[in-house]
Amino acid sequence: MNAADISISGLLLGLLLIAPTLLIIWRLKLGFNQKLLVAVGRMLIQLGFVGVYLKYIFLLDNAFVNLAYILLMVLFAALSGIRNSSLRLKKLLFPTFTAMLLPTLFTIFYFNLAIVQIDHIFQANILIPIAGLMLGNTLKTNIVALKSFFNIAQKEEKTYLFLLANGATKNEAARPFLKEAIRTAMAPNLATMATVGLVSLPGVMTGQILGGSDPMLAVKYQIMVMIIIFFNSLLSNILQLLFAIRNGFDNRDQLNKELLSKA
Amino acid sequence: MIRFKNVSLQLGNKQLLKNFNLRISKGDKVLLAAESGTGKTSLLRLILGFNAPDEGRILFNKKVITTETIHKVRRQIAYLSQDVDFPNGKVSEVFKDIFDFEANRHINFSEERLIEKLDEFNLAHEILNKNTSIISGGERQRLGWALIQLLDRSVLLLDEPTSAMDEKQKQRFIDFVANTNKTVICVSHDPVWQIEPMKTITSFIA
Repeated sequence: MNAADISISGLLLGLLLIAPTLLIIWRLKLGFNQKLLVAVGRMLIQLGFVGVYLKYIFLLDNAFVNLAYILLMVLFAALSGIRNSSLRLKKLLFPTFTAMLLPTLFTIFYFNLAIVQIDHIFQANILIPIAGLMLGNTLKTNIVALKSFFNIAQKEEKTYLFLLANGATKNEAARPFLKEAIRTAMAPNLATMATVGLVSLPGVMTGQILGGSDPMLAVKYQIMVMIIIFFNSLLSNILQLLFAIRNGFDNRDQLNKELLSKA
Repeated sequence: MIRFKNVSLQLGNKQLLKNFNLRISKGDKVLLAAESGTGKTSLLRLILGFNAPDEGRILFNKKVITTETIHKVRRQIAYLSQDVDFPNGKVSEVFKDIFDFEANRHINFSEERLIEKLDEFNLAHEILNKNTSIISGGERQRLGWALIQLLDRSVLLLDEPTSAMDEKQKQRFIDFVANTNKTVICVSHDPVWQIEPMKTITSFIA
């Protein structure tokens, strides 16, 4: 069983829906027509490219190429994470990259070896989409974790100093902030897991069902994916924040406030 | 024990300390009673190594306080900040966490010992189950005193440590300071602190 193809005429008819969309936006003076056109254009170009090169990457299916592709995805995730945290984090690029890469590599190989049990663990059509799923979520949670960590650390600086002055190391004094930041960052994942299937079908399942999979198989994948996403994000969060504690304070253990304001 | 040698410190555009010299011997009790905004808290921060002086040196046990030595110095200090900034959480757990710090693990701490202090300071046992964010200022200060007495360090840095207490409660802690052999530096405007054996300092600009 395969997904029903979308023909050229079908694609064009689909794109035609943009016309009434633009019209509505224009009539209601919502003012984002230009932005929408740019977004649609970017989507067409970006996904067009992705479609073409994924096709070749899947055909080639070379372990090194696949790994290199993952490294690139992690790099883009790290860059985007830093930009979106509105922190001046030049110092945090390498740590962020590492905090995203290490858990992702571990989890993806565990997924391939132990869960799906495929022979070729670098198999492109599993490695790349699954890594993409994990990174997407990790990126979101790491941004929240970083932002809340530095927010709390700034707001609760007196508590931090009080603990520091009564015997705590930098790590011990910052631990309450780390815990709070992880709780905040992981909360949406918990909520999603607890309500999955009630409102909408999650992405992986939808994709597989559209692709012709048996719903039970789709459900199995969905459950596994949610678990590895949660695991991966949590691990990456913790690493990210440990690096933040390492880099975010000076050698007198004072919060490095230059990190906080965007230049 | 603690020595300020020609120390100057400027924060923003305010000169807080200028060529400041102070020699505190072991067991001395020093009261910093200058006007507010004159750098009393900054002086404590300098000893804790939170700030570096612009000029001059600060010695702790004959060694200059540097980024290499601050951790060793901090391990010999107990500190009460103005608002006694306990972290958010249940009082009993906050205490347990603090005594779980590597530097504090050697201290013989137990809930029983904390309860003894609560009794001594007229705090109800129920406070152990309360969150630190809802207890009153006076209760916080007494809990802070319980903490630093249990930490049992050789140096106490106290920033307005009795500001939320009535006269009777104040006297208990003033007596404690007067009779301890610890080295104490206390910031307070309150004239009740200006008694023997406190050495009062009112200006930091030479």
